[in-house]
Amino acid sequence: MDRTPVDDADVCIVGAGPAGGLVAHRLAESGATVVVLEAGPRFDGDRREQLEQHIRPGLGGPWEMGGPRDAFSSSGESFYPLNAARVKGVGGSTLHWQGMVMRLHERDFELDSRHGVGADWPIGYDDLQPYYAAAEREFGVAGAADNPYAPPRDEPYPLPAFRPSHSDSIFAEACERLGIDMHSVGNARNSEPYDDRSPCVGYGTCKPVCPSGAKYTAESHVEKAEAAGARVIDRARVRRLEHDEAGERVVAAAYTTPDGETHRQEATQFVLACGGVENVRLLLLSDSDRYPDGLANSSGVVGRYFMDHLFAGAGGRLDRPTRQNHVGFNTSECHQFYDEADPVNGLKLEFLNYAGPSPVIDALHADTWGDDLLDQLDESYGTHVSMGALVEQLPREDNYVGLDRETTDDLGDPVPEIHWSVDEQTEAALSRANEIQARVLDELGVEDRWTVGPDETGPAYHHMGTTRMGDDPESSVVDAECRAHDLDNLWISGSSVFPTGGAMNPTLTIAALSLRLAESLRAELG
Amino acid sequence: MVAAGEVVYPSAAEGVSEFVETYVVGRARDDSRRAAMVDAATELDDVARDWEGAAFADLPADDRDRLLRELGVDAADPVPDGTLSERLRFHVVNELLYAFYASPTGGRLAGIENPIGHPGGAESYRRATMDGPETTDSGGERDG
Repeated sequence: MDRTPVDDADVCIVGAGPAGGLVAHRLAESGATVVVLEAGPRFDGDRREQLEQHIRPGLGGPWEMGGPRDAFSSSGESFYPLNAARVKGVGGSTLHWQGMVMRLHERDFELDSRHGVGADWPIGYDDLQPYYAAAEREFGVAGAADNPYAPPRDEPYPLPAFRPSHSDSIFAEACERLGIDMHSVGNARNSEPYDDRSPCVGYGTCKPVCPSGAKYTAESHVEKAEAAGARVIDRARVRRLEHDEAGERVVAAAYTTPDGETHRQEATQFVLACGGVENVRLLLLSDSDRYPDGLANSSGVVGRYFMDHLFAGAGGRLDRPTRQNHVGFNTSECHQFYDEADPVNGLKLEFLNYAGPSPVIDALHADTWGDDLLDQLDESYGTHVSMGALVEQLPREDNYVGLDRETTDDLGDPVPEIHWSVDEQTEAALSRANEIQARVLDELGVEDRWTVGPDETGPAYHHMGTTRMGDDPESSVVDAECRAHDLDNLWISGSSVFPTGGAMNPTLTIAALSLRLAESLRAELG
Repeated sequence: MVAAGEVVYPSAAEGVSEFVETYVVGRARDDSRRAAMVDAATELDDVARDWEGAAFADLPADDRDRLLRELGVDAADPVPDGTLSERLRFHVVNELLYAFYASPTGGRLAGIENPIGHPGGAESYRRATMDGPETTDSGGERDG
């Protein structure tokens, strides 16, 4: 494959995930010459291969993460499992995401003003609302307007919501008695055929792979971008951005291809869209005499304020069939407690449709077979229930992504260092989520209980906050249009620009911001 | 593979021979996977002849089961290019188990007619039982 640079490119985008794919599509459609450089491969072919790799032990991970290319350090109090949390390839982390999509709440954009914590965004929900609607159309979101706690919307979802599960109906009995509201959840997954993709056929493995194509992946927009004339170069690892003498503009992205060659892609505009960790790494690797602390980092906050969502969960077993693990997505959530002030951290509750073990996975790990195995499966499957929750982590300067200059990847470049811990305030919010979950499980009479709370929590793999957006160049990296304060033609697309992260899965907001960025950049191109 | 399937599958399984030929051997999407399965089965047969004096398929089911366990296949990690017991676990036992329990044939015996890995539609998750009607919705309208 020809991996040489494109002549006369208007826009060079680094990263072919949802943030890069959407921008590439919009700009290519408008007639711009677009090139996308993606560090990972294209995963072509029958996706049942990845399905089998996921289910069967001994085959390795489905998305080839974790080799020397992906080395990293984790230095904070809490270990951060970075390579479980991202995918490099055309489609980016939407290849393995679960596909839950919801809008941030109005309060998420003004936490500082309302509650004196975190930071305000330089834009409000109103600014993003039309782009949220556009993002829902791009993804083909299945949802319903039955959520009384959701922010305002002017139009229906493009696809009808998935109907509640049998398991939801079990939870509904208890929740009704407790005054806890259940409602639908937005899914970037086809409940009907949409955009030439199949409806869900129930493989049950949404995360990490949907063999039917019902789950949205950014491959969709990358393909559309290519159809509109964009060139996508896979396995092109961008290692440095070069700027002009004045330090006002980026002039080239230097990338290395599998044959060991290094090329320079020149362009008029550059968009960073490689995630909340690699965006930072690339800026820091691009330091120069003019920018000794890294590109676009005159504020000193590139990499700072790293946030993720934290998981809280609880579950156990009932004395009746709960019908879990038919599908790999959820059909009900509860956002009733999201906007509460004490604790101020947002939290949302999930009613899981995949509680407990799956017979086939248990069987493949069992140390027996035949009738013994079936007896074990009879015992292990069928009566589990569980609830999950995502909890907001507020931005803290001492949670950061940096460079570990002592450790290098296979190209000799310093690897990202994740320095992350969970603070007491977040732990209190996790306890609050556990408290509500316990009330529901008590009401249902759930036995053999387990809880994932402050002591056992882990990240939800949403990398946010590391190139934060703001009006003040002293304290933020990009402006409200997602353009770097320091360099006129450098834009950053993705959750790294979030000043705060709320407790909603971030990808719909990534998409909305990307569409907004594409509009600003299109205007800039003229 | 059929002889191993008769041991690896529960006694309630019906039509093992046809299932194995269609969904295990027939499922292999590439020649190398099928060849690896045949190689592992051949090795198992060689061991059976050495240790038991008969082809694996000619041994009584209890002896087949015992032989696999004596080889440590029950406790072995499945490794495609590992030791003999690891290869047997991957290419024989887990090939059989994957095809069976990721299908309604095995899934139903374990209580799920649409197990993960099987594209059994987006309706089964709404049923209260394997063959019952979908659960009546509770809560708000979801008309999008």
